[in-house]
Amino acid sequence: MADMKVKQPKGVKLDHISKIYKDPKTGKDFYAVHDVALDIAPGSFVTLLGPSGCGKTTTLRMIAGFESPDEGEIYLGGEPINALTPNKRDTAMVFQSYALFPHYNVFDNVAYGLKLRKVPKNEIRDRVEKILGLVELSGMEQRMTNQLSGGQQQRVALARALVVEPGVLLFDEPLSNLDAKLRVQMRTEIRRIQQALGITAVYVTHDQSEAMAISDQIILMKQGVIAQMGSPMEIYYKPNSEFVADFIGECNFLHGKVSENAEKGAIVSLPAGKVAVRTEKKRNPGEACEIVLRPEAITIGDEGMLPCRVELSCFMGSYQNYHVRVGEELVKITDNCPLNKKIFQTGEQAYISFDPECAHLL
Amino acid sequence: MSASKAKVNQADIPVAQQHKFKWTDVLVQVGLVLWAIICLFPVYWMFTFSLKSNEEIFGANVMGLPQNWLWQNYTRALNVGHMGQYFLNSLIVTVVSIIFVLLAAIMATYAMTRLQWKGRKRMNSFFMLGLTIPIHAAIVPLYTTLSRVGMLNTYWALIIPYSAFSLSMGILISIGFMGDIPYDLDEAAFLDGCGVWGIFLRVIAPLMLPAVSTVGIYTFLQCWNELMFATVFISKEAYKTLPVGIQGLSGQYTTEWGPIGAALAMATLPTLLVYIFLSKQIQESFIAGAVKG
Repeated sequence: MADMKVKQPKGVKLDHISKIYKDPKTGKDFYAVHDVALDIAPGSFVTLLGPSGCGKTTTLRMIAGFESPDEGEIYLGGEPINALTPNKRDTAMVFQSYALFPHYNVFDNVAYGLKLRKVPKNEIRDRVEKILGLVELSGMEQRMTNQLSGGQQQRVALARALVVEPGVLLFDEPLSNLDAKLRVQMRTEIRRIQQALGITAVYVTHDQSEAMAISDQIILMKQGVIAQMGSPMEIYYKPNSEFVADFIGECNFLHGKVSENAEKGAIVSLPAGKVAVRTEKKRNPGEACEIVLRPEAITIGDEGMLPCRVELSCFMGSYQNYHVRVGEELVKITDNCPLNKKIFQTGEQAYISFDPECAHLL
Repeated sequence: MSASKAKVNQADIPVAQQHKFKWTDVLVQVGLVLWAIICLFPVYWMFTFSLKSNEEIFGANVMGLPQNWLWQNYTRALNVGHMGQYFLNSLIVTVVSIIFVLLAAIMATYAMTRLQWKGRKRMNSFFMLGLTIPIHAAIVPLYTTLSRVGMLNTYWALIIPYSAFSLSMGILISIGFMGDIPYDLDEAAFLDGCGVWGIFLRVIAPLMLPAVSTVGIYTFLQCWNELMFATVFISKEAYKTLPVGIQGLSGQYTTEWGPIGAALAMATLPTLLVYIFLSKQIQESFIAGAVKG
């Protein structure tokens, strides 16, 4: 696979780009994407994540050239590309609908871009064979696309995008038409191929687990702006807002006030008691705050930090699922491997505890 | 697999799928058979009447098979009635009109549905206006125009109006089909390096084949059977089409109905073949305005 390395992966820079559309109902202009600035390193896998209408696909289409930014500049490999049409941008795209040409067979679909680039026939054959081998579709060259399964069609779409050796590979929700099992399998495949080729990839999805599984960096968007960017672990453990914390995985929020600053964090006063939380920023005493706690970071026992009352206790196999009331707030707990642990029943009194390192202060 | 295994137990079939004898089903089937006979009888009658003499047609054997099979009615229609020439004229006018309509309809649809330009919606409405213009209202202005440009008694006198009057429906049908082709295909082709013409010729046009056959059949039916324009705009024998030619035969051969029947049979044959082999596309062309677009 060494000879399949991409010639030169390119970095992408979005320099404060915006896209303005007109609302068809009100006739007023609105920002679909607003002042987005980011730097994507060559060879990295970056995911644009967010709910519907957050501007992630519009951002991707601006990189591809199907939309032009109303403000700002896009750079590919250091060169400004706003004025270039999509076919001059050294990008390739895997579409949500795969966009395979139904009147061509697998070979012709994959070879299409090479033919238009007037690559010699022998080279086309070699490159198509290699790329079909990479996506594990060797021997299916003569099949029509309607004779392939969803996963195989997705591989053909990936091969077609990869065969032209683009500087940047763009993915527009490529797995959303697949069933759950195949989606997990294909996302692993996409990551494997991206790492094998060392290609720069920009991936759009609204599935947070997909983004976590494959990305070097996640750009979480909300209403046209970047809500947070960082590695999956940073986004998960150090969300900068309630929106980010809630969008990525399950989350509990405990509302309180900063009581005092401690050596490695702060003491937070909650209605149910005081707890220590790790924070890098110094907070002002008396300031309102929220503690973000992941369900798996909380333990339940006869003794602990905060008293609670069990409202739901449900055995889920690999974990015991609890809903407990701490003061006025509902807290979800995922207690892993419950086999040799005490199981609390609904209505019982208990205590919750957590490692201050695993709690995050907003 | 053994026979016992292959045999399906009646009890295993869901009640909803079990076929029960109903008298209403029999009545429906009988009704449908009668309706088929009513529809097919004129065709049968035309073909038998084309092989009979006047005595049989107007005598005791109106509906039965010919007692003497007069195949010479066909040779008389071809030689004396010039049906070969009329057939050729109809063929030229129809084929050229179909080509014009297909080219114009698919290219116009592509421009109006896939390309972004100011006024494309107005242009679409303009084309759709053509559906509302009654053909009779256009005869006088068309005659005057064709007369001034010296096109009367030429193939163009029919090809141009036929193409124009079929274009609106052709576009309506094409819009329905083209709307079903995902835009991602255009974008994928564009990324690969295709221009507007490349996308049209290599991607969109091949996928429009079902629409091509539907529009083609619709235009064929419109042109092949058209009588009014052909009667008004063509008076020279050399350019007359089949409907006009057959009409002329009834004046010349009022006492010989057999050759007229033969001419009718020859004129109907292409339409029948189209119906037999392409009935699905014909149905689509008929419902295009109701379902598509």
